Amino acid sequence: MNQASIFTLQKSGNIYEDSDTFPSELYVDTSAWITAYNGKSYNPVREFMGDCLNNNTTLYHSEMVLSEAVHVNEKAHYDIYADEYIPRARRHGNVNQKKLRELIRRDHPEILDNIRVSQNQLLHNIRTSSIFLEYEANEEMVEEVLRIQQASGNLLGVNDAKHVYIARQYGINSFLTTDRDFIALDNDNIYVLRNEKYIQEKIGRNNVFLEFDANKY
Amino acid sequence: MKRLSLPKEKTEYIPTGIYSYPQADRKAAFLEMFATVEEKPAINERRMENLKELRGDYR
Repeated sequence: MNQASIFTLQKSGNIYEDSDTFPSELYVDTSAWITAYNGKSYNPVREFMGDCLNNNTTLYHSEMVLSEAVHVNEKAHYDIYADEYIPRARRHGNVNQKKLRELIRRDHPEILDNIRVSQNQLLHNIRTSSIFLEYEANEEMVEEVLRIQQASGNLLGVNDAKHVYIARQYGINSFLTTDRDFIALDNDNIYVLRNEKYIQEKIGRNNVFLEFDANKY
Repeated sequence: MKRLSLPKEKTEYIPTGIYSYPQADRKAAFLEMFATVEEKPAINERRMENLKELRGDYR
């Protein structure tokens, strides 16, 4: 357990300090997409994705990525107005989310257009720069997702484990993420932003590029 | 677990989007596409917070 290789995205000049090669296949999870999407200034996640593309890496996404991206984007737009309406949407101490959205849409009908425009651009960027991986949601998947979760010492959430399941089905074991739980995986390559936690977590691991081996999962 | 074929391994695969560009031009095209995104910083911040809520703590 917890023997994934960790590569931080620290660049010195044109060279990445932790790795001088790029994976041929890289699954980009939702947290990395959202991080890449945010802000106009230098963005190490975006920079790494760009470097990967110029080094013949294929980036991948899935329905899980698109669904999560749509959800967090839509909610972000509502959240901007939410504080003002929460007292009116509150009943018995709880906030009725449907009522909250109804109140916001009534006073700010433009929000639906804003969400649509924003969502289209977000999805366009993901779809244009990465390849969609299909998966079949069935009993076998549920069992496998639970097994991945357990193998991580239950550090991975169900949604995290689904991302891993989808990628591994296609023989992909390299992940770009800002979700720290992914480092609980085994025999996977995890590309993350550099911070103190990852510097500590790297200690005691081999941190060499690990080839996909179906027998090791 | 049965290993599925990657889309690019299939004979009918035709590169689209960034992958239709020459390899050396992909990074520039990718960065340009993301540079055109114009949104309020507050929206960006909320997206990250919402993902944290959806997926549990991260970073």
